[in-house]
Amino acid sequence: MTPAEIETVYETMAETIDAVGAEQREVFLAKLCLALAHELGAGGKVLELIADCRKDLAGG
Amino acid sequence: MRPAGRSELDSLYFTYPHFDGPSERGHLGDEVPVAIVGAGPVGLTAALTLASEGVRSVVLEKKPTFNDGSRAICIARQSYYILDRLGALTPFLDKSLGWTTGRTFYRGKQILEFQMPDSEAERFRPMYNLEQQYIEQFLWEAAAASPLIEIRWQSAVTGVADEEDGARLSVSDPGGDYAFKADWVLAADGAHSPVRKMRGLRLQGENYEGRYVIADVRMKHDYPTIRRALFDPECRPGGTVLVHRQPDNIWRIDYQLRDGDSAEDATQEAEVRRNVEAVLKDLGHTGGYDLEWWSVYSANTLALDDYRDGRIFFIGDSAHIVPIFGVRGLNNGLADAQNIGWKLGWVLNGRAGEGLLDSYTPERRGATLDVFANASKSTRFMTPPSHGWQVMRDAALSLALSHPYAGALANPRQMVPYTYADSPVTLADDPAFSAGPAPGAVAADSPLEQGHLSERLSGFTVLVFGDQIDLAGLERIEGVAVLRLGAETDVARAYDAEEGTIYLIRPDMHVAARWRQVDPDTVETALRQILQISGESL
Repeated sequence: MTPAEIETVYETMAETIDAVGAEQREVFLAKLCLALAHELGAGGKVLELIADCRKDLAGG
Repeated sequence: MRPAGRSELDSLYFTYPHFDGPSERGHLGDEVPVAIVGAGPVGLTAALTLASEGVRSVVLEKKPTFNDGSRAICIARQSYYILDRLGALTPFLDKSLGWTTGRTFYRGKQILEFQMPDSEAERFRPMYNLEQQYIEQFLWEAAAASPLIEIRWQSAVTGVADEEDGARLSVSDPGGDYAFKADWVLAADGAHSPVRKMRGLRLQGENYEGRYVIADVRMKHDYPTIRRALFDPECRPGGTVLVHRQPDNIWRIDYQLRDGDSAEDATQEAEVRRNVEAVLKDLGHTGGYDLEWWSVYSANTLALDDYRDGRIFFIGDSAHIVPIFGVRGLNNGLADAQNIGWKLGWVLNGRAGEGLLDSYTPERRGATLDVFANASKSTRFMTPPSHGWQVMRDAALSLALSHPYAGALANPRQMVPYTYADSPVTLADDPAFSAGPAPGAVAADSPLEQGHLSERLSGFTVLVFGDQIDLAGLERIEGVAVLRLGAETDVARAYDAEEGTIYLIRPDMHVAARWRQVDPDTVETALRQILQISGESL
């Protein structure tokens, strides 16, 4: 993935998180994770990323 | 519960019989080999299993008739094999509705259709729907026809005391109080088991928050026998609804209560009607309906640590409470009854040692724990226990609307018969096999000639492939039947068998041991070990 492509993903995510509204935000993100995990096709890698992304959260 | 103006036994489709307490009383205090507490499906299955082994039993039931409503309605394939063994199958096949398919909907749109394993080669469908009253009636008809079973209605057990080689039961009926000794007691007295309480035993496990109302309605509704699960439907935003078809135009509506709903309010007739009508509207049913009966239940996973207490065995709901979604409450209860029934029968007939009875708890409690593991997954999907589970459940359902692979997350766990792999009477597998039912598993029921293998099994079956091996010694053992099959048949292929292969199949159809190649002495030694008997008595 090129830096330009990841930037487009970044921007689209920002806009979509705003657009879906507070109530559906979490479900939207969880749904996207399931869809991306399915596309990735590697369960072990997904579990690694879940653990990885849990690190360094603000206040966490 | 039933609508105002109708008594608990005033059903729209079922005429309850009324049974008096014992009128002849001279023999009531006589000692009996087995006393069974409870004449529900589990107690009667135990009595019929014992009778099929030639063992007499007395069944004590505090009520004057069958259960006051239809609780359990799904009978699994393996239970039909139990009914077949009891000679009670025909009325069940005639009346019940077999089914194979389930459909799951999210916000009104179908996201999953699943098929349970089935084919033309199977003798029975994966599941049958039948109201519990019929289940009890058909078993009662079989029990009433047996000279070995005495049912005492309106007879409450008020005490169970240990005695040497047995237990003394105190009984109260309309004609008076009496006591008698039973060599063995089977407590099939349900979830609130008085026997369990009298013995000071408690169920252990988890109480889940989710509570459901089950309501039966009678209506003309054109939909096949397919289980429907509705998630977040218009009629119950955020909730879950299950719909099952039963015989006699009766439909089971099963809906989840919201957190904070009191069970007392939810079971008021007006409230039940309001909720049922909303579901029917969602189902597109425009005709009228009659409300038949309703009840409320929780999705608990509770079990006794030990299903045996001295001379008492707990069978069915007295030993374990399981969530309804797995349809294992009744089915596991029937399997409990058959399991202890044949073992006790063999011990009382002198064909097996008492050690065989020690396998009851590990086998049947193991089956319960297996249900718990599966049911916990179903329950978490049906009734998410926390915010995280709720978010992921909703995400999966939402994704499934456009991506069918996500619908699989909504698939209820397929319940297959439990494998007694860790049982003390299951022998180690022969590594020479690469397929076929392993020791502990239920024997595969392959088509055989014009029927199925299961129709040829009787007692403890020694299944032998080919005609080379001489089993004259085994054929002399009482209760053991030798069944010879060709080494080039469909059954042989399903069992990964060759000339000389032997399987030992228990009376409950579980495989106890198998050898690809073996000598007769080894088989005889294994039978002794399984039946827990010393060499001299075999």
